[in-house]
Amino acid sequence: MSHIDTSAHLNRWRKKSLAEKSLLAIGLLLIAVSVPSWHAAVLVAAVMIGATLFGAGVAFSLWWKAMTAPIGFLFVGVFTLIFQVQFWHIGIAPHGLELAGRVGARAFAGLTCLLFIALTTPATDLIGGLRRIGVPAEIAEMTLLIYRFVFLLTDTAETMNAAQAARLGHITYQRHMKSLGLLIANLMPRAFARAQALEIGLAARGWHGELRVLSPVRHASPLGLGIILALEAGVLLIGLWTS
Amino acid sequence: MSLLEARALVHVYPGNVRALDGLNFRIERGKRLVILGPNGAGKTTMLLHLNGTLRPQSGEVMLDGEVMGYAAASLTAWRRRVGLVLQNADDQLFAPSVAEDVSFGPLNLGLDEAETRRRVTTALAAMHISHLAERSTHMLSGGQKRRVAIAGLVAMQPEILLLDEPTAGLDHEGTEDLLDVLEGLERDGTTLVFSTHDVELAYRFADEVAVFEGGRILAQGPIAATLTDTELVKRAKLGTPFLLKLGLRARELGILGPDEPMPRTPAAALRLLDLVGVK
Repeated sequence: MSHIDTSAHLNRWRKKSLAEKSLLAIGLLLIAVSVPSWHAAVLVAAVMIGATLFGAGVAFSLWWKAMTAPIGFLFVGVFTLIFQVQFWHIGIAPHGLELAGRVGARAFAGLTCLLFIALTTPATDLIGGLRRIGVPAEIAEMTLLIYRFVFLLTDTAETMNAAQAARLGHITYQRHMKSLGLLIANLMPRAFARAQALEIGLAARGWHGELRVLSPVRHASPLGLGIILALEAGVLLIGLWTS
Repeated sequence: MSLLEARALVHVYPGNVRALDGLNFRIERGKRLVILGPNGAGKTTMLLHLNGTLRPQSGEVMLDGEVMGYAAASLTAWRRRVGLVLQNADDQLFAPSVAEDVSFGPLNLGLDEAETRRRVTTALAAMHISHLAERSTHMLSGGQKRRVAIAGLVAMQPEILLLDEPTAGLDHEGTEDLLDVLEGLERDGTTLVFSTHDVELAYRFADEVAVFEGGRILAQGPIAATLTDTELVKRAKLGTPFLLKLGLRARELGILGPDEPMPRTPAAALRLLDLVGVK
């Protein structure tokens, strides 16, 4: 979680506009899932990986770390597509391999698109984007607060965990489970106290129930948008031509 | 007339805890005031009354001689003039990036975007954190968070800035830098009031001190004269600042003339030593 967040803040494309980044990722995602041939999906994945690692300069080790969990799920899902169960037989399904390959390639391409956005765009920009496309203010504000407080909560939990460990709270499995229960039970009232304190802090700054802030504006460059569209047209043509 | 005055404030928490017990207190324009008292005595409760966050069970708070009300409109006017920085910066920062967080107050004042942007820029510059504008609030150090929290109120340009234990948890350099920055705010016309339990710090920084104990202000006056009262200092569970002791002793020994200023900083105390060397 915090690795992804750090990367989102420190990559080379941090300040590129959300419009450009989302046009690239969503456009390619649509191509990957709509063009029948799997070649398009592979091409999309290649472009997205290139953009993430070489364009935005995200370290491969970080990218791979973020990728492992979803790839695990993907593998399990795709693997089962190959087989079919009939009465007491387990066999290779007709077109099973082909189907698994196509689904796998598309899902992988989708993952690369998602990771591109996650690793290059801070949540702030995403939430700002949500507001601009007309998501109700209440939902955008909740998202913003949750994003902010997830870090406070994990920090508090980590500190409490360390304090428990220092007093040998993790010495046996049973003690560990008991300590964990206590920790969770303690986090709850703390979270409420925090919320109350925050309300006082916000009220001191004249809060009337709406969390309005000025977000930095990042303008999309026409050139950038043009390049992205041209790239996508290229991928689409190759995809259609090979199918 | 005092800029802000609290009269006979009483606040009893459930369980019959008398946090404020007939508290009288005043803030004069342009005078640096420190509220000095032991930990857990109710200094925070007191500050929360001074910007209208808490409502006293009896007593009143007056701004420029006018009794303040607790309806939404008067609270807004009140907080526009009296800013409060909480002790824990994490209780105040909610926006994901520094500049966004600082823009929150000015927007609540109803300022337009251009003016808000100007205010954010000047507030960040005043706190010497312009370089952090685009940073994520959760990636800052404790000292940086505190500055951002203060900037959030500075951007609202209050007449009085109340700070609850602003140096708690800061290292030596962090404290020095913060005091510097606060002096800058004062030059721009903000009246500074802060609470602390640290007598040394109070002695160095404040013009005036209000000694808080048992839900009341036991005494309020010029800092050196007030803290010379050993009986009072003892009752408030405080200590006499070392530099004050040193100054008093120097006067006793005739190193300092009765009209000469007492040393208020370590540097001034060292100069006193040089003086002895010369003599």
